[in-house]
Amino acid sequence: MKILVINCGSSSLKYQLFDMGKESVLAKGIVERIGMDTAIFQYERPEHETIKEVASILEHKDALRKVLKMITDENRGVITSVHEIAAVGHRIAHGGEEFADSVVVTNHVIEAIRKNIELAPLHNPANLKGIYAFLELAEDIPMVCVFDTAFHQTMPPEHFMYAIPRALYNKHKIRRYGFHGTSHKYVSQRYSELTGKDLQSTKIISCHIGNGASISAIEFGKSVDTSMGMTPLEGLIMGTRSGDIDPAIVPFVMVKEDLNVNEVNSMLNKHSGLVGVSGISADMREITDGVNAGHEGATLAYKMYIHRIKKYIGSYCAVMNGVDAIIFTGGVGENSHMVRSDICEGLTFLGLELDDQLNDTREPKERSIQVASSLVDVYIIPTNEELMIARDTLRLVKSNKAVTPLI
Amino acid sequence: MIRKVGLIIDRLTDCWIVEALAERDYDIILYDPSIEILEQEKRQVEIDLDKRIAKWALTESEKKVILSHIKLETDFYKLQEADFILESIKSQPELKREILLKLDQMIPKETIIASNSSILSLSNFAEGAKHPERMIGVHFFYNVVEIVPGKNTSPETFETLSQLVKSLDKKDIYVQESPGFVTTRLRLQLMNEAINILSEGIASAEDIEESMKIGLGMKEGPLEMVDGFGLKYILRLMEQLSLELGEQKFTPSPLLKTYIDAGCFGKKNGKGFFEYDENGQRIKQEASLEVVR
Repeated sequence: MKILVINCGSSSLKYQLFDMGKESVLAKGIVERIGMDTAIFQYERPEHETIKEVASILEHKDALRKVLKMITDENRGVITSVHEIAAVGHRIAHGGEEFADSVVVTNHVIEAIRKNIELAPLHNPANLKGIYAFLELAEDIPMVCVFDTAFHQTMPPEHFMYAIPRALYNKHKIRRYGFHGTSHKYVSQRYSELTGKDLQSTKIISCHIGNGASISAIEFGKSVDTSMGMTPLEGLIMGTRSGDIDPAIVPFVMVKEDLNVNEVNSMLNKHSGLVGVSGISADMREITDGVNAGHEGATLAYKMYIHRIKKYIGSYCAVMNGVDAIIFTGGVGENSHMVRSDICEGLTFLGLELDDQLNDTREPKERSIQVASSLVDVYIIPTNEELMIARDTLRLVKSNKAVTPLI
Repeated sequence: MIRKVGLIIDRLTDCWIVEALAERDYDIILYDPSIEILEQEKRQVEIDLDKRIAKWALTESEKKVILSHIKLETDFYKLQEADFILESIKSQPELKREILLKLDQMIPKETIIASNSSILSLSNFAEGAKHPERMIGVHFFYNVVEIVPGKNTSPETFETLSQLVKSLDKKDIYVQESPGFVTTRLRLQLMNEAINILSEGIASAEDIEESMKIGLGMKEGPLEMVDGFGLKYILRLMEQLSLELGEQKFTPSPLLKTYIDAGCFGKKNGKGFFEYDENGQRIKQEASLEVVR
């Protein structure tokens, strides 16, 4: 069975076609700069050279048309007809409170995603473009939405509510939603598969640390807390985002620096985090190079970054009354041995002991990196959100029924 | 669908319109017969973008993307490639009329031609146009855009402009053709009265400024506003409006002319009702008063 996974951004479209028999990728690629005369179309197949073309692609529908044409192309394609695609899985940023699981696309679902545009004004409209494009081009192929927020819908109210007037929740649904749900779910399930440990009796702290970063407390298979909040700005220090700050700083800075709402938003989202503190880069590789070269800004940013992650790990241990495994994923989590080592260094009180040699080995594959006697497992599990979306899509299409929305 | 916007401006203070369009990914054909003027306009956009970077509103890479949307063009006929034309000539009414009619002759009849003015309506300029239905008046006033259809503007033209304005995250308001529309009439009255109060010695420039700035929660008070637009420009607008409406309430305060005669032109030369540094920031209070008194 073939499943196509689509991830639409405001001017981009990422795609991956899976053969679910072996869960292998038949083709994948990205269309960038949609809306311009010089859009870039990229197409990759295993054991073939990557095809890259510059063309005028003015909207998402054109981009999708080009993708479908290429994957069914007589010479370069990987399937003979669009109808070989059993279903399409769409990544959707914000499902609000409506969706605690992936769902087959219906009019009601589209309406609910539209309703949540207010909570994800940049992402949800772009995600919807992919759905609309498919409805126009191949409406008979079933579609499934997989939400970044759904996995965290299991958090209890005392974890997702903010201590601000309750009217704000009632009126605007202001609460913690959390993001990277597909990734946290994938790595926790993968940990269970790799170790044979039952998720129902395991306490996991999953650290998705990339340019955006979040940590989740996953107790007995369910997300019970996560560091990102109503938006992806809360929580950890990220490449360009501040993460947690005293909320009183916002109005104070607005007055002192004469900033408007857009400017202060941009300041917190694009000019803060590693780049704001270090003054050199948002990229952890450049930050660690800076630390090794004795750069003062990079060193401060790095120490703050590690400190914040440790604080969250410590607090989630307290939330779950213990931890069985810590998982690292995302660009930094998977690749920076220095970050992993510095985080774990202060966690020996948990009985956690890292194997330095295993940690230092540079290979991009899933593996454990603790010593045999460690009381806590430490795993590197490269995330695979696309596969997770494909699996969910297959599951729902096979069961052939829409998951009933919560409300 | 509008992707490419042809733009003609003749005041550096209107460069923010170029920036606002380019920031929303519209490709801009910025036209002027002089490459020096075009380069000056592009430099002004860069200066404005740098100011926004300094306020953390933009990143360097976002600035690059915005600038990449702006193409400088000295060949008038290249404006034919645009899906939408915005003409914003403010200092020479005769040139404005000539350019609008020339555009009407040359541009495909489906392409909308919008004419930006703070005072005068399209009907003053578009008489004799072959395709008046695709022509429309407009006034870009920061976060508000006044849409002023002419006698023969089609509903489709109105709707397309309204959509364009919304895509810029600006508020569109619908205004009948009338000199000064809404925003110019209101602000000129406020500015003129502030200058009158100053000239009558009722309060200091600083106190007049603060009364409105703090009292009404405005970003700038009326006198700094005059300095920002330029004293000569405001004088010309007031004279024009007073002529068009025939009402005394728009007769420019004599003190405005006194300031201009004393070489106070506003933020652009650092001296107006207040003094400014090269970044347009105020440096000391009421400094230029003694020049006049």
